[in-house]
Amino acid sequence: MDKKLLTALCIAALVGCGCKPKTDDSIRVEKVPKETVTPLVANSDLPAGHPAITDSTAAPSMAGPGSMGALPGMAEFTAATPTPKWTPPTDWAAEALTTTRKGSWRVPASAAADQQAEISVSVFQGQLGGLLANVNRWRGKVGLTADLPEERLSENVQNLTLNGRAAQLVSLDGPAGQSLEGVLVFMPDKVWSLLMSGPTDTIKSQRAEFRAFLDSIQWQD
Amino acid sequence: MRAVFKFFSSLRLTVTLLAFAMVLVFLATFEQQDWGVFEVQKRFFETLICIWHWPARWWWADSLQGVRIPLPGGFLIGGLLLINLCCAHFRYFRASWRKSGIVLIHAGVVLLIVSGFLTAYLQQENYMWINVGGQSDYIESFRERDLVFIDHTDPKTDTVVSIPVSRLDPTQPIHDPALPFTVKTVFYYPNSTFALRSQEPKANLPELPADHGVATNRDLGVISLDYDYANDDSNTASAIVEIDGAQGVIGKWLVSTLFDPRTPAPFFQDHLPQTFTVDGHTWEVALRPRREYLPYTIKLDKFIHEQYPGTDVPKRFESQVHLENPASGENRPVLIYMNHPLRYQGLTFYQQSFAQGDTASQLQVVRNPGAPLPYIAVLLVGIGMAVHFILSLIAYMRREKQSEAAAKDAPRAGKSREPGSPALPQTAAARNR
Repeated sequence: MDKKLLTALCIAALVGCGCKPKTDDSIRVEKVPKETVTPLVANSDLPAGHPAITDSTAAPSMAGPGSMGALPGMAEFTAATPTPKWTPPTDWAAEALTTTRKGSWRVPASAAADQQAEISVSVFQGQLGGLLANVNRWRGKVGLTADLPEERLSENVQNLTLNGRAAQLVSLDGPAGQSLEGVLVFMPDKVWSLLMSGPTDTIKSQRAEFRAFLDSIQWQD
Repeated sequence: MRAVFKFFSSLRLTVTLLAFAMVLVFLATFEQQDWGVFEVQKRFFETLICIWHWPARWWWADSLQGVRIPLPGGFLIGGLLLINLCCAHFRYFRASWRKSGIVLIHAGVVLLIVSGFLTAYLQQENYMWINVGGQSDYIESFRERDLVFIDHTDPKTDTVVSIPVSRLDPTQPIHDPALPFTVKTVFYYPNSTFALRSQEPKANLPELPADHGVATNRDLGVISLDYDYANDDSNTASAIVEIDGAQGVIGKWLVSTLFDPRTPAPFFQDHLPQTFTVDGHTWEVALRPRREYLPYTIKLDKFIHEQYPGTDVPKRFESQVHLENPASGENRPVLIYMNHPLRYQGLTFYQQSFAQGDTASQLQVVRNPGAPLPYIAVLLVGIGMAVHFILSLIAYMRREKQSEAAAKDAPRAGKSREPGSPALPQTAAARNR
C-alpha cells in the first residue's frame, strides 16, 4: 500500500476517533397502548395487618425511580413526632400506615371500595403554606377550581378546640360528588392535618363520627 | 511523510501508548469513586484528551489540588494503537503462510480495539422494572430524561410526545406540530430536592411560580443540587414549564422525576397525574426517564431471592418471566438469573436488582451491536497463537531433524576434508529457516 495514502488514512482515522455522534435531541411522537399504572409497592400481596412497604430499604442497590419517598426529612419528622391518642369509630377500617401518615382509615368498612371515604392524619414540619393555601388546595381536590379569596376565608372555616389546641375545620362539597372535611391544627413548629375525603354521601353520613374522632384526640407532643 | 509513517509504525510508540494506557486505567480507577463508572468512561476513555487533577483525598491535596495534567484519553490511545498496529503490519509484514498465525493475532487485536470503539459509540444501557404479576413493554434510560406530554383522549391508545431535557432552555420556546400549544421552560434542574418553605426558613426558598398541579398551595420549594455523577441514576430532575395555548397562558406546572405514579410519594400522589385540557384533548405533563417502547411484553411471574442459611448474603436472584410477542406469536417462559440473561431482538436482559420486599424485579437492558466482536477477537487471537505455535513447532522439529542429519553426515564429510580444515559455518538463512 502507498505509504502516503496509509499515513493520510491514519491521521483521518485519528481525527475520527474523537468524533462522538451528536446526542439525539429530536422530539419523538409515539402512539402506545394505554398504560395501566401498577404501583411498585405491591401491598395487595401482603397478609392482612402487615404494615405497608413504602420504601426500598430492602433493596441493596435499587436504581431508577423506585428509590423515592416523600419530601426529604418528612418521614423522619413523622416518625419522631409522638402519635396522639384517639378512639376511632368501630366501623372505621384501619389502613396500613405510610412513612408520612400517623393514622389512616377507610370508612365505612362494609361499603364498596368506590363508596368508601378515606381518613388520614399527617403531621408536617413548618406551617404548610398556611390555612388559605391548604383550603384552596383542598378545594381543587374536590373539583372547586376557583380559589377562595383571603377575605372570604373566615366565613368558610369553623374554629374548634381539640384537646386544648385551636383548630380550623373546613367542609367542602365539590360539583362532581366529592366532598372533604379537613382540619388543620397549627403549632409553632408544625401543623397537624386531619382529612376525610371521598363520595359526598359517605362524607355526609360520617361527619358525626369524624367529629367524635376529633373530640377523642389527646395530643402527646 | 516517510518520517510520519515511521513514527506511526514504531515499536517505541506501541510501548509508550501501552504505558499511557496503564497510567490512564490506574488514575481512572481512583476517580471512579467520585464520578461513577459512566462519567469516568466519558472523561477518561471516550475522549481524545483528558485533564487529570490531583484527587482531593490524596496526600498533599491542599497544596496540589490545583494541579491539572493533560493526558491522552482512551480514544487517542486506542486510535493510535490501532494505527500503530496497522502501520507496523504493513512495514514489517512479508506475505508468507508461515506468518499466518501472526496475521490472525493482529486481526484479533484490531477487532478488539474496533469493538471498544463500537461499544463506546453504540451501547445503550436501560432498565425495566416489573412487579410480580405485572408486565412491561418499555425500557427506561438510567440517565436520559424527557419532558413528556401524553394525549389520553383516545380510549385505546395514548399519544406520547417526548421532548429531551436538553431542549428545556428558558430562552427557547418549544413548538412542535404534534403539540397544539407552546412549551416554555421557566427552569430546569438536573438534580434537585424539595422542601417545605416554612420548614427551611434559612434557605429563603422563593415561592414557586407554578399555578397548577402539585405545586399549587403547597408551600413547596425546590433546591437545585449539584449533579451526583457517582449515583447519577438517583438524581431528581425538576422543572417548571409554562403551557401557552392560542388564547394565551394555560398554566405553569412543576414536573419532576420524583412524581412517578408507580412509586407514589404520599405527599404528591393525590395530585398525580397532572393534566390539562386543550381543544377538548386531555394532556398529561410529566418529567420522566427516557422510555423506549418495545413491540413485545415481559411479564414477571415470580421473583426468587434466596439467601445463604442464617445470613443476609444473597445466594440466588431469579426472575421467572413470560415473553409475549404478538407479532411473532411467541409466548414462552424464560428464566433470567445471574450470568443467564435473556437475549432477544438485539437486547440483552440481565437480572440487576429487586425491591419492595422481593415483589419487584429490575432488569438491566443493554443494547450493544458490537457485543459479539470481543468474543470473535479473542477467538482469532487464540487461533492465531495456536497456529503460530504449531508452525513454529513444525519448523523447529524440521531444523532439529536437519541438524541431526547434518550431525550424522558430519563424520563422513569430515573424512573427505583435509585434516585441520575448519567445518563449514551455518549460514544465517539456514539458521532462520
